[in-house]
Amino acid sequence: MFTHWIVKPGAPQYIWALAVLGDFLIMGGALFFLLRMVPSRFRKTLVAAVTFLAGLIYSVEFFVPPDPATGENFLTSFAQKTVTDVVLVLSTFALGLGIYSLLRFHGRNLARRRAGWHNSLALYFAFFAMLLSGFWTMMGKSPAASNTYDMLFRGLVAAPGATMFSIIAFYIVSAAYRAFRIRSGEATLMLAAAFVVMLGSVPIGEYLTSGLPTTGFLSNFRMENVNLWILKEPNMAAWRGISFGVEIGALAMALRTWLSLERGSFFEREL
Amino acid sequence: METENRSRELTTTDRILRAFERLQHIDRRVMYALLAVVVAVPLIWNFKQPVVVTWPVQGAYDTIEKMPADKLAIIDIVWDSGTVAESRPQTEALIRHLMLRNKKFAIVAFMPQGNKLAYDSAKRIGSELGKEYGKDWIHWGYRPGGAMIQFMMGLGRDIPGTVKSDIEGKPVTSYPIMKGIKSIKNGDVGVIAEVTPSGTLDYWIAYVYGSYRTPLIYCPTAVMAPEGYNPLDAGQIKGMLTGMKGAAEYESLLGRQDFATRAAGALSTSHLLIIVLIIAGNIGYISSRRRRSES
Repeated sequence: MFTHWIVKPGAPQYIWALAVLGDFLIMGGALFFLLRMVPSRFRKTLVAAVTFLAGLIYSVEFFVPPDPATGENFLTSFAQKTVTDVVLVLSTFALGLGIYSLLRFHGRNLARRRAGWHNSLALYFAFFAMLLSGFWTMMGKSPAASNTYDMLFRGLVAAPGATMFSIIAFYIVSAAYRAFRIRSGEATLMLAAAFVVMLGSVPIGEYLTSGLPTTGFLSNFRMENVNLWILKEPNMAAWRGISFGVEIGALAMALRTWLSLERGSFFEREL
Repeated sequence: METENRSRELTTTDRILRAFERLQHIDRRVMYALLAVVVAVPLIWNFKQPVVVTWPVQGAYDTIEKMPADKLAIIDIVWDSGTVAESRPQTEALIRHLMLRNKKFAIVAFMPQGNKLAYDSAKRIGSELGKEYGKDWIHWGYRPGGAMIQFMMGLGRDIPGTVKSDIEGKPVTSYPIMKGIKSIKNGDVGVIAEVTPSGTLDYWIAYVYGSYRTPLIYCPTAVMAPEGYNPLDAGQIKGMLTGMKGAAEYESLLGRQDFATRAAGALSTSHLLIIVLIIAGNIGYISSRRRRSES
């Protein structure tokens, strides 16, 4: 918020990074202090009022007819510019809060030597290694800095991420082997559809029916076309039905959140 | 004598059924080992297969071909290292196509890891094809996913005002590529391609396509593809690259055999393994049911 006033354009990136960090701490501290000043019995009311007003901006902006000349109404600019900036700042706050919460939790694990404390140590090591190498890269264009960052990024972040996700393939094979049993007519139908979609999603499946013509009636029986038909017709019908249900649920959920009607673990806690 | 023969026959059938029954209890470690082998072998020995281009991929290709050269394409990165095997070949195929046709594009990432991975890919392909950063392409950097909708709406109204700076922290207006680029509303964006394993396509449809009719291309992972057929059928997206196979088809349209084409072989063998295992499991299941009913 104040960063653009304090730091001049063209300043080194690490000055920007430090200014943003300072801005974050000052603004976050000020907002937190203001919230603590409000008596506890009014805090929920305050949060509910802010939530309602924030939701109202987009609702009113959507429903008020726009000026035909500009295509905008009196709220469009505010909703799309000011609120966008505010949401970006709030998202950044959420990121900072997440980092603080993560480090606090694992810091306690380390301090009390709880079971698995070495994992918390690994987290601290990885976190600060990435953070420091990131700042080092921002401070100058030295090859050592960028090489260190690239090595940590590829070795510590990207490779384990891809590895963890790829392990799912092994479970899928095992699960498909156990789940697809022809116990009933419906299960047999599902198995047949799964075979077609599996074969139609890989080149070898297409190769099996490559002898059929690409145009005319017989082309409908090519594996890729049968696959696309299953995905585009029966799958789409089912998906539309599910989507309608999900959207109605989301609408109800949005209304409950907007009007602060939601009840449950978090919403009933003392602020 | 006849009863004795019949009894011996039953015993033989019984023995065969018992042998088949074992097929429904294959040790999972055997399956894991088989999968590792059938994935590794085609990747090592480059198991080539013919790739048939399907109409959703052709639609995506044609949309980029038709994009006027004075407009900007946006590649939206919503993937990270978890889906790098599928999402990176899709991203690279799109980048290569745009660069080969001298069409300007901007990358924007809503995932921190995808931000750098896509940047690295674009830099590599750019240096290979002699394209200059800031003139032929630009990377707008990472934006928090929580502010995705506001960012999209902002692009509709004012691109430089919303993006402000690129991945290097420099004002986007200082780059030649951004000259004359005002907003999506102004018609400055020709194509938006979303590469993602998550369900964020609806936001582009609701907040950008709904208002400005900017052509959209969807590049989901294979498991997320079913949700793309509704907007594809409605004409809200012009094309779709489904997972690794979609990327392989796109590479085939570009006349190349990059990673996706090579990996499509591994995809084929792993799918075949799953089918063989399912058939084996069902033979075991049927044998067991038959033996139980006979006994």
